[in-house]
Amino acid sequence: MNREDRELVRHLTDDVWFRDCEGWSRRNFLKIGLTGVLALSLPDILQLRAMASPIQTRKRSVIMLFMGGGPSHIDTFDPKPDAGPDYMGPMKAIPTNVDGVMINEGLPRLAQMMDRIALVRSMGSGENSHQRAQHLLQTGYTPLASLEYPSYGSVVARERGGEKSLPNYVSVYQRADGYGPGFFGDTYAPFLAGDPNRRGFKFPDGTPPRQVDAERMSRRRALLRAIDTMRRDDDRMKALDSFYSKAFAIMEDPEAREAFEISREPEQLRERYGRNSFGQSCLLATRLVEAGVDYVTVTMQGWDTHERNFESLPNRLLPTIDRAMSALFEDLQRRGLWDSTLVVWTGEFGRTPKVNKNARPGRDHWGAAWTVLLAGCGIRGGTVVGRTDGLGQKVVESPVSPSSLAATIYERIGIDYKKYYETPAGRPIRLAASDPIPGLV
Amino acid sequence: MDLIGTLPTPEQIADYADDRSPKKREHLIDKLLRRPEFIYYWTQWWGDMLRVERRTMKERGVKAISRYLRTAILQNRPLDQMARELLTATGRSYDNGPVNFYSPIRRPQQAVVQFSSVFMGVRMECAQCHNHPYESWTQNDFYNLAMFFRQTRLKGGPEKDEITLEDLPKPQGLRIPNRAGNVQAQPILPGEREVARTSQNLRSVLADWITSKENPYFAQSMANRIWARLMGRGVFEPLDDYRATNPPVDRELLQVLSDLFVESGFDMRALIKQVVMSRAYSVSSEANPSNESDTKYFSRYYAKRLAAEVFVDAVCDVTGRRERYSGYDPGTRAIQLEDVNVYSRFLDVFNRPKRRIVICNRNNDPSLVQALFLMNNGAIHNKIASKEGSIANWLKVGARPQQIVDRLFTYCLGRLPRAKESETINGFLMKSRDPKPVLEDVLWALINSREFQYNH
Repeated sequence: MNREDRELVRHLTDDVWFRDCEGWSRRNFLKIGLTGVLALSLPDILQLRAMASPIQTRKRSVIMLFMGGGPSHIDTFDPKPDAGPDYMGPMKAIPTNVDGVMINEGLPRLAQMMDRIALVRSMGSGENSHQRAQHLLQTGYTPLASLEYPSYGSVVARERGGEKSLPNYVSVYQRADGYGPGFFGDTYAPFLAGDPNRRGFKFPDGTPPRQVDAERMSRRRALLRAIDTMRRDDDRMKALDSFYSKAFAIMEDPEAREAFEISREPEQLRERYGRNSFGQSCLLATRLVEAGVDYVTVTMQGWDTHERNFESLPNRLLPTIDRAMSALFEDLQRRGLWDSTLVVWTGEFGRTPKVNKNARPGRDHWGAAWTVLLAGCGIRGGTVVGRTDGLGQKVVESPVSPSSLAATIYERIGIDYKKYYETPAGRPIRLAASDPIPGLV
Repeated sequence: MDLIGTLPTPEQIADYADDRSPKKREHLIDKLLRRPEFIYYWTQWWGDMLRVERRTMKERGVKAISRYLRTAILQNRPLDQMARELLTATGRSYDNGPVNFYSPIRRPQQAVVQFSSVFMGVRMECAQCHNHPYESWTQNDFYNLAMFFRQTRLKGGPEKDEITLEDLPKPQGLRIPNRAGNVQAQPILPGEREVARTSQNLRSVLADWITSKENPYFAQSMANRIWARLMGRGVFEPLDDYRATNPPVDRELLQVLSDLFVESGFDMRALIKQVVMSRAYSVSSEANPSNESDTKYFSRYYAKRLAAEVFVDAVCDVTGRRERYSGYDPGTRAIQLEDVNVYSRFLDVFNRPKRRIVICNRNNDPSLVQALFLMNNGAIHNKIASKEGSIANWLKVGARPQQIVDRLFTYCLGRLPRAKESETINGFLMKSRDPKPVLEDVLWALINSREFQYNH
């Protein structure tokens, strides 16, 4: 990238992303808040952050919390207290701060936030294989043997594009099928971040190895400029140029890399999210959205509980999400990101309402019904859409499909879900095959 | 590089330059076709088509089919014979490699999709659910074709996760969905009207049909795949989507390739040789004003980004430091790996295919992660700067920095540095007391250049 290009990138990033309506760079303000006044308490700092967020100009982002393996709807957000132990196992339902809405007892913090959250209890697809269902839930389409659809994140990356140094779409920690760019090609693939709970986690390969100092790096760039003179006759070669420009921009933009450095967050806040991979991934997602990333997927595997369902959920899985998601919701509100960030929580399917007869009982795949949680970005809190029958087996009211979830996501962040794309074979495909889920806003 | 997926060494380049024979190009091609790397590189080509990977085939199935493919390529077994062996295989998947053609398949419908994509170069799966809106394939065609896989039973075992194929005396029935009443599929070959009447197993009938010299699909599809691997683009694309509404860019070229392939007796090496000896293959990749906008008519050679395995091997070659792959001997090259699930961040960053869908189009697109990885990753730096790496070794034997620069350029780019390049490099060499870091930075820049990442 030459100097003019660099200037242009800097100019663009300054103007579009980092300056609020009063002309202050929010990041600078933050820096003053964090480093200048060490005596500030955590709530003060968070308060400052919220003030520092531009309200009108904030673009909308998505945090997708994907529960790989498929959590039971009965054991999370659609309990059936009257169905008896054959269906509920040893678990109980608790009331929430929304009248008449009960959820599983393993989610006490979320129960007290139900007035900010919407539940869609009538999701169904009939798809019972992990791979296909995961693809379906991250793209809105059932995969074909010959065609891989782009994930929502890749669609958002393509729609938003842009010359900023941060990637548009980041996938954190684990992955489930269907997260990729599909037929869009790798230009729109997510940036893969590792496990933020690992010690020393940072932006991968964002800076040269320690043996290469600034002087050497500038020599390397001078050599690359001298050698890399082959003509750019091919689109992919031009794409390669753009990636090198972006890479150099990131290397020169400590702030973009800092978005990945959760070690900069106050210790209390890191604890509040939970010192585990999912908790820290949620915190990272918040930082990334704050820094301008459009779409973040956090995948948490481990929900495929054919066995030991009633050990894994109450002891590990439910406390982890209860802690991390309640922290995420609080933090998004404090940082002033709530109205511009859509949070979606879903698995690829539900689990059999009736507890199975395994020696250590569990639940099997159930594509007929499960619950999706949505919050933020104008979603009306306390809403419950749809209903399953008394045993949680079938959707009996307002059935919705994964493609209507796709439409909801696109619609919420301002992407025309009716837009068509062409597959490489020339087949037109609508971004989302259905209309948004009604009754959420 | 296109024939064996491996960079020529500076010595090989020098030998070739010194060769005064007018037939040196042909001699070189013949030599390359006999190299062991040729076998690995083209086993990988088959591996992409057949989706060789351990999630579906399990480790022992992957080994069995890889062994089969290597042997067949070593013996230059005609492709029609290989197609027949794969299609009609029986027995256990851990012992009989070709049985693994069916490992990713559980239903006859999936067999149709795989068969039509790999051997016909045609996509049938739309017809599984409905008559195709533009094409001649109907849902009946699809299910009638599926019938050819109904005289065979696929069962699990005998060992854990193994499959066994067994031919049956009589075909089992297959109902065509979405039809009023009970409409049964009939074993009717694509494009024919009559039910195949035969005492043979239906899979053999299908194999006879697809591999016959008169069959329009097989030779054309295979020749197009070979052409595409060498030229960077098929005469029709995608490689498994031949149809009236997606015509080849040059019908005559496709016909010639297809005829050559049939005449050679489906000899893969012979066709490869003919393509690389052709004028189309040796034209310059540099665009001129008349062909600048051409991206599909072969008026110029399209620079190809190196495939993941080839690229990783090339970086290892020029730095003199190999990767280690778990479960493989030290010194194993990436093109030798049988399974795409062997851990390697380097290969994954460069889009090694997962081989999960039938049409395993390789995606050699660049990405931001790749750029950052090549520029900054510690493992790459360690290769470049290693005490046992190529630069350190040449310095140890007393090579002068300029000689090393020449060697690096020749190995990486197949050419010597140009005057302007030398000027920049010498400037840095002069300013630095120790030449090693400067040479490392030259190698870094070479690896990050497009000229290295593309075959042109």
